[in-house]
Amino acid sequence: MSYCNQCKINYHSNQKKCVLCQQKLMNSSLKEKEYFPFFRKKVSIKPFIKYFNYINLMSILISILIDLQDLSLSFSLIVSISNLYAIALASFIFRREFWTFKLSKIILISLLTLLLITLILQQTNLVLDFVLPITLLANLLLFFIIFITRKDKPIDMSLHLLAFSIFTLLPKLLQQLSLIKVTLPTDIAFYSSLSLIIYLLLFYRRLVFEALRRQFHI
Amino acid sequence: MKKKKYWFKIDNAGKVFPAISNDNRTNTFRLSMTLVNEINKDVLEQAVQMILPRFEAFAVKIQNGIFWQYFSENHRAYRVEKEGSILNKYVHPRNNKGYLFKVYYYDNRITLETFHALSDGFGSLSFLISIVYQYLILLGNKMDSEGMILGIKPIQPKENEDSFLVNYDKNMIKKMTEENAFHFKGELFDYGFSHLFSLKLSLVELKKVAKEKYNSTITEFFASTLCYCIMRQNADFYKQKKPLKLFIPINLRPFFDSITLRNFSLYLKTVFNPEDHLLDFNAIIKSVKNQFKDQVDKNVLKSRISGYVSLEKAWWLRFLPAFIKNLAFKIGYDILGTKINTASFSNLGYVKLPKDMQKHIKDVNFVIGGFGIGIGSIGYQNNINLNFTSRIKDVSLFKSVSDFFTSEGITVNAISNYREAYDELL
Repeated sequence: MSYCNQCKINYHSNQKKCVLCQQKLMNSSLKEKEYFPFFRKKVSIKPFIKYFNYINLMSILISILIDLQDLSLSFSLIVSISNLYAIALASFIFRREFWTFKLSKIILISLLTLLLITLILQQTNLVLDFVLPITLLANLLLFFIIFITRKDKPIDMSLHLLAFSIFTLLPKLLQQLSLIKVTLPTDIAFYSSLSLIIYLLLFYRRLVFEALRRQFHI
Repeated sequence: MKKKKYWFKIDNAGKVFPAISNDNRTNTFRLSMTLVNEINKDVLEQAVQMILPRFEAFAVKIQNGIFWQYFSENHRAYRVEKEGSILNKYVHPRNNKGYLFKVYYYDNRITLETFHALSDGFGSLSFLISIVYQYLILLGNKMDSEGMILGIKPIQPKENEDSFLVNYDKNMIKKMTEENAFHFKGELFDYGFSHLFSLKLSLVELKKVAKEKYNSTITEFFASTLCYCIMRQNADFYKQKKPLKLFIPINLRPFFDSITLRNFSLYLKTVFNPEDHLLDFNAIIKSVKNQFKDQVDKNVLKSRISGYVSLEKAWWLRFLPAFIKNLAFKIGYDILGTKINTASFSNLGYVKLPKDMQKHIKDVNFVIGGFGIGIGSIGYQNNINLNFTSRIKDVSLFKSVSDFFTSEGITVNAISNYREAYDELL
């Protein structure tokens, strides 16, 4: 134990000088126990991620500005999507988060990518008739597989699946508004999502209501 | 009975913390137990995994609802970690397998750091005692719990209740306004480092001074000492023309017959105006006692509880989407939250452990975090630990308090986590 003559304090931790008056302690040469680990600077990855994100965002902005000089959006959308993907991938790798959360992001970005690429090709009919219902259907299938295989988060997943099933009804609404001409993909998406909603309400009603109760508690 | 699926609304006191917390404003507090022997990491991890399902209030993760965030069950295997040098680190809700507390080991110490949205000192202490008890059992020790270990008792639904809501009375709502308080100023340590200066004081000596000389409780004596020292050593205090407000959390469970493990405390405040800076210690302790007496009254406390809960129950707030609420909490706290108190002092009281456990536990400690200065105290066996944590590079308050104790004839033993090399590093 070391002692500060001036402050009249017995130090139990490994100090050479008094923390309060900076005087040299008596008996401080004796090796005391380390009560706390020594602070060491850690190289943080956060500034690199920030810098990486900044470069990508600038790339989006510049490419869109160049593109807009012709009053049209073409290559900049592809560049932007690539940049967004790069940002998303970097955050998935370096940020420790739940993988379902990551997956939802990937699905959303994939969907937007597909829609934008087809829009770049100026194929509006192709987007609405095929790309939108098929991507929604594919993602619905993916969610369903996760729901069936992942038993550890059934309450959260049931609500995600229900919400996505309802969202997959969207092409049918567009069809009713005569915006969609080719009906087969839309019909498949519609009946798949409808049957999934019924399936959830029949067999997982308790989970869905529990999830809704948690989500909407006011 | 243990449940697989459960969820809780975040209690009234905890609602604001997930929105406002970050690496700089961590809102965590730390309880630790120093054992006789070095900690075995694997056994500790096993002990936590065995005890955690019993403490449903802790076995949760935070989820985003449409209107409010909430806690839902978390059954993932808990992993303990070796303690780092930064105290009361922010427990990020998405890391740590979703759990909002950390269990650390270092040498012969087991530490529990809890995010305040989850529980207060009482709940966390029960949890830590149960973990350490289980740890000692797993090491092959024969122990008699003497009915003091919550972790081996059956779960009671009242342990998980929001006692703020239970004790809400719409006819007793007290409107609360707070004026700004005096603040410590100074350069902060980098990297979120907090300087811990822990004073180990003899219970016998303290009682002699607090009870016999000043006829006060230990909490009143400490609160008075802190107010006296802050006013005397800080020239900024009477220049700033703002009152000194020391916030002291009080455990509400004994007043309202609650056994909840979630937050159930309110702060008392001791207020001194700048013109009081020349008061002598006897006048200060008299004033503190009177202020305590006025505030520690069941009806006063109930009306304050009702005041807080009434905010939560306002229809316009309930129907706001969660992300807007969180944004409002963040902005509101930035504008008001940090300005209304000078420092917080929390006394967790005297820790009683079963006799069989006592021989394995050398010390118990309680450290609160804070953006400025936080003071926590806890008693165990023949000592009381008074722990100061500061993010500010200034030790004048620590010196002033230790000088005061010395002048009162109390022996001061200290532990600090500061090293000479930190002058350059931090």
